Amino acid sequence: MSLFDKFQETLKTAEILAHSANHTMPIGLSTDHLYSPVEGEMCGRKTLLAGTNNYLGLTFHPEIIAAAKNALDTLGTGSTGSRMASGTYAIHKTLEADLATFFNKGHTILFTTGYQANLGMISTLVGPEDVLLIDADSHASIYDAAKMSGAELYRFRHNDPDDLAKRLKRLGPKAQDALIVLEGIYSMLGDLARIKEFVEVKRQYGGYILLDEAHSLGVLGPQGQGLAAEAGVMDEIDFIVGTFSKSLGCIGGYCSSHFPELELVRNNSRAYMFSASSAPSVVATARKALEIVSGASDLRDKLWRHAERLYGELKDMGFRVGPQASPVLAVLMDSTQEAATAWQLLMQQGLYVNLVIPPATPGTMSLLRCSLSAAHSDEHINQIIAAYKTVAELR
Amino acid sequence: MSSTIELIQLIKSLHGATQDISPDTSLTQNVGLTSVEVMELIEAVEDHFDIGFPLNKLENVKYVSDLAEIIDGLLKEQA
Repeated sequence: MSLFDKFQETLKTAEILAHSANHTMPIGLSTDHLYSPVEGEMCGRKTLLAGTNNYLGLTFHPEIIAAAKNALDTLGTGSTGSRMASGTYAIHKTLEADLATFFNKGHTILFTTGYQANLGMISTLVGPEDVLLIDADSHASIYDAAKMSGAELYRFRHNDPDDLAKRLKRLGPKAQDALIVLEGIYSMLGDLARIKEFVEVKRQYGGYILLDEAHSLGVLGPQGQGLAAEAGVMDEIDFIVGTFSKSLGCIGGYCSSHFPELELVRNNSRAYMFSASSAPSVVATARKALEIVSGASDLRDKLWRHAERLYGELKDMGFRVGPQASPVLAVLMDSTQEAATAWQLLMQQGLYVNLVIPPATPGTMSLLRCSLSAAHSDEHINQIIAAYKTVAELR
Repeated sequence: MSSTIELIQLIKSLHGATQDISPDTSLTQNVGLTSVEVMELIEAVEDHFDIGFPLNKLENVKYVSDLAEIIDGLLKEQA
């Protein structure tokens, strides 16, 4: 038996996808040129990009690029060390202070990626003696963190505060110190966590809430702080986790909290201790992008206008869509083959969206996942609508 | 009292399993549950028996009897 035998199923899925998508492999496709935050070249064709999570379209912002270039010139290409050794530069600490102020939380830790932020925080906050409750549709980083932590793990039904309450009630006194993990905007179906109701459940039964705002940073809240700020419950959220790889247009992760003990996590989180710190140019990018995001209510308004319009159009075309309009718009397909064929049809119209199949999706769903950007124009949205119409007509 | 009979009824009602299910039946190989269906079964088990079922315990579950044994243990802890 070969070491690689276990990948046969992956190979089979790849063959089905490539066959259904007319010999184009939909997953891991390369963007060969970029013309703007939302336009590029894929498969030799000019393509409108609607699956990049570049929600505010800041990746070519001249002030952000200038900040990154300046950091390259003055601090070099990389830190070459972990934060615990030689990889803490003043700029890392400055960004941590910026984020602490942005969220009004007092304390922040940076991580090198968003995945590591969840892994590093959750697996450190809870251990085998603790209780962890996660949403059934949680991101893979949360599931992986749960496994790494060894905590007593419970899963509650997706976005269902009553189901969480039922589980906390069964836990009795153990609920007081349980960690509850939620996401601001769920990355696959685009629905917003029912955060006010979850906070009520926490008030009743106890526990700590860790909210992953990966897809809601920059997108929600008066200054783009995310769902907690939008809903007015920031003070009730114990840990805000997020990523720089979406609205901030670079890479990295963070956790902010009002607990001073967050500083102790640095000395206990393996994902933090044993990763090289972010390159100074990346930190400078995140700092400048954060500054711009906080004043970008015009971009947020435009993004949500696009989301409402496209969500309505997709519903009118008869597609099964996610529970609510948001910058993440999923069309649910009946099978992986049907999803791959539809994806290819969109590509032929010059539109790129994400084809997402199990296990990356909740349950057994296959999705065409569109993520919108404030850099999309009204004409781009027309183009997206026209492309989806060709799929609707063939169904 | 063992939870085995109630568990078998629950599996049958959830997944419309027509074959005989005994304590020695494998949940994945014989009943044919996918990983998603196993999760749905656990949710149903929690509600039916009014217990919290830590997912870590699933690592040791292969047969109906394994699951029943864990449920019995959790019911005992709760009593």
